[in-house]
Amino acid sequence: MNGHVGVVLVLSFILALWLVRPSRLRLKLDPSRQVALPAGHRKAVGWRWAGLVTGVVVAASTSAVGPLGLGLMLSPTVFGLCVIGGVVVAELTTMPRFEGVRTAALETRTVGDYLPARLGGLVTGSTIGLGALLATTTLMGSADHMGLAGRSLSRSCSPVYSAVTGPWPGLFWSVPLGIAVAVGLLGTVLALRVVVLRPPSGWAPDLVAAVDDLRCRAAEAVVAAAGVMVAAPVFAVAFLAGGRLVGFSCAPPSWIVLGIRLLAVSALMLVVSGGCLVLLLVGPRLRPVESADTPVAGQAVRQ
Amino acid sequence: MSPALTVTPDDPTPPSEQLRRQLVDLIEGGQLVEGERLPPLRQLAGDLGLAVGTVARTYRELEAAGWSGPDVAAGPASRLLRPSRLRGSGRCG
Repeated sequence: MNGHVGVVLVLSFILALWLVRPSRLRLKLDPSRQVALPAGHRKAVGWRWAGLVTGVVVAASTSAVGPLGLGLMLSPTVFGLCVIGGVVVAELTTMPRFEGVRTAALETRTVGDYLPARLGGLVTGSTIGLGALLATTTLMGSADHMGLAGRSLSRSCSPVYSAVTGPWPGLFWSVPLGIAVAVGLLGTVLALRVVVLRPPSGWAPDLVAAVDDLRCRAAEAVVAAAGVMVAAPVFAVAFLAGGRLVGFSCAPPSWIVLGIRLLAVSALMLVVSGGCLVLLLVGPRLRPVESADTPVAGQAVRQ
Repeated sequence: MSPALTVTPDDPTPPSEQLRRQLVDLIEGGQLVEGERLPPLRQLAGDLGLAVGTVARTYRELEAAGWSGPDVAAGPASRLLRPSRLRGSGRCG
């Protein structure tokens, strides 16, 4: 068991390294400015950690409430929303104050500019996979002995015998889980908008570039939190459904094949969840480095 | 390097007019060219600490003067100086 945990951790770290190149984020700032921005960044990191710790506590509480494992199924979404909340608070509390002449670069910033490509692709793929998986398990499920819709899997093995197994991730879990993930993804989009629309606290190119780096890191944290929100439920649903299909007493060959594939998907999603968690916990740090060709602070084209 | 816009709060000229004049100067000076996309209203308003309505007024006046038009592909809030749309630059490597 400990060996399995170790393998998952190592693979998660490898995935996190592949998702984001640690050397990418460097604050290239004029030395005269290496006080305010890094200080703001430290404050933002503090808020992000506060969101993360709150997420762990609230998710642990959520997992203990709700009937028949429903709370446990919803806890990754709760965790992700708390992390995203921390990022949003960080962005809002490090907004620059406007004093005197205000200058802004005439540039167009979109959410797409700041999305981490590999991580974003992985989360998008996981979201599509979750939708397909929930649709499949919902269609296959049937009511259990308590009459709860979709909590069991049944099949007529012969004219006189029907096999039933459960719990099955059908309608009873898929609807609340689908709603929770949709709310989480909506929160992700809104948080990304806050990150993109945050004023850059100046116009000088090195400052704009440094704030862009901070935006990238914030967007990465938001998308990584979304990754946990999506990949963890895929892991849970695929693991449960795969195990039930493979172990079904009179499973047709197609169920066995599907079950094995779902177990493989669940293993992959466990690593993806771990990779996203690693990114949240030990993501690349921003180290201020001196820029060789930085312009004069606060320089503006027009007055 | 992107050109910049400046708003001086002490200036008796309304901020929307300050912005309009600078944008027209940038267009006439060739620093903003055909097809270039103007920043979204909320972004520019946030960057300059102005109300969204102030920037919207500037954009409306530019549009009325024939300098810009709606960016159909990007939605009603986006405007560009002529038909072709600039693509996002991908800032995170």
